[in-house]
Amino acid sequence: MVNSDISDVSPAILVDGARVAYGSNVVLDDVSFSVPAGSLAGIVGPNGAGKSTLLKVLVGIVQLDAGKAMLNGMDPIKARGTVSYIPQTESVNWSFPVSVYDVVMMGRTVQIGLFRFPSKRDRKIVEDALEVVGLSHRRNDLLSELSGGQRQRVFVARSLAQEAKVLLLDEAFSGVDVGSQTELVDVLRLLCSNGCTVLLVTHDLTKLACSFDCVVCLNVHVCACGKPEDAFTPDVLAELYGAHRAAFLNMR
Amino acid sequence: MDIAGYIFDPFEYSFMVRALVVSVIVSVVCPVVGIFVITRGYGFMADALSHSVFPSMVIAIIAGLSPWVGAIPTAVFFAVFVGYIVRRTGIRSDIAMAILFVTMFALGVIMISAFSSRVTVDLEALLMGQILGVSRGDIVVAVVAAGFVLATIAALYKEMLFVSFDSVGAEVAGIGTARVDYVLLATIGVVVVVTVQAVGVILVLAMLVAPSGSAILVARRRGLIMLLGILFALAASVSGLYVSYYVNLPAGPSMALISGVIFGVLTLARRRIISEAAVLR
Repeated sequence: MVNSDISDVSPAILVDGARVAYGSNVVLDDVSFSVPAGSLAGIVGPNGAGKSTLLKVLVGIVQLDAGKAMLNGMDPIKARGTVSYIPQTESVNWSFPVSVYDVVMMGRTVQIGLFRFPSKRDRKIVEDALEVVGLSHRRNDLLSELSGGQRQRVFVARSLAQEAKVLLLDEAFSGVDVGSQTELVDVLRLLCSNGCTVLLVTHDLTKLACSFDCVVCLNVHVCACGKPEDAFTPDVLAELYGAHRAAFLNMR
Repeated sequence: MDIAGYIFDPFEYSFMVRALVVSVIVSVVCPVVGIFVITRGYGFMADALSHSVFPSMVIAIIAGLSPWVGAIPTAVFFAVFVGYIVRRTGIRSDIAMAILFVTMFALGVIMISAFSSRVTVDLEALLMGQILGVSRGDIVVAVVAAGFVLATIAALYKEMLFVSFDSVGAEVAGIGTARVDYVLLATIGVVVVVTVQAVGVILVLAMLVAPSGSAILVARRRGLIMLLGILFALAASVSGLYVSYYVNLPAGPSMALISGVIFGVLTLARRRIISEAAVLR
């Protein structure tokens, strides 16, 4: 077991000895790591490494068979409302017509409250969030008309409008070209500077992984955890990607 | 007779005026929930729902009550029940719904037959609608039910948007997605019952799905889809009334047929527009 060297007094995200199995198929095995508040963290690993399952544990959709997961000291179900989750593109209902503005306003739903309509303040927050992600000019467009990178930024604006403490993104880079990935990371950095903790899952191990504060290399168990320059050793890359590691060696 | 005469003459009869009022009510509420039915993939469920309500209407009639008394509570019950099945079983829910659907329908038909010596139940009216036979009381119930549906959708609109678009994201953001879905399903159940009055158990989808489906072919924004859906539903239901008046054909099937024709024409027109756009490119 590789211990995290990024331990913090009260980490925003804490996973300790997490285990999930579907029958005899172990998806997560003794996974432990922590993410300090306000940092930008990445979970990297190949397909089938249990990355999405780990995020689902953190949002309380998948229950742990052993171990614990905490968000700002609360269990995942209790933490709901303070957490924002950006799912994989496929799990969003694209046949449902929504505008960019609609999606960002969704972030205000709980704050506005049942049977109420958005106030002036809610609209201002939504406009500001759109401004931050640089998409004010697309506010009336349908979300489905936007590129992959722009869509992700709209979802980030939704998390901003929600004033979430923790943001979890599943496969944030899939369908997003390299230039837009950089823009996305820049926006996520802004959230972190506001005190939000961002944890992003990706199998697209690009050079961007090096711009994270910490990475968790996951392949059912934690292969490495820490600053990207420390975590991505040739041995770890071999464990993550086997024969394909040559493609990633230049990252270090 | 001049054109105005053709247009207004049928409504000198009060049964035609009542039929028109119900047509308008159905044409407004169906597309409002129809967009959710289509984009959430609830079409088959809505059909199963209308068939499941059938025996309760038969029981109400046998007991000497209005079919509404049986239909509305059962529709809400089955909507929530079917929603529960979908949540629990996911994709296999199709099979559970199909079985529920035929079993309940068969039960209704058997009850009509078993009680035929005591009460005459007009099977055709239940299956194909009885819009030309609606009473003042039926209209009152339809207005109240439609008001409930519109008020519910308006009150929970932002929650329904979030849950319909991104259910997991909504759950994590702290919205009780299960409760929102059950309320949405219950309103669909109420709309199904109101629509049964117009076009009958078998033809509910003609009003609940076809107008919204036609609108989605030509519009992409939610507001416009609802508005066009209402216009298409009005076109189908009102012209269905005229057809039944002047050509002496059953009103419900006429409405359903016109609704289907609108969808077919728009599908062909859209394909043509798209292929012409491709040539231009």
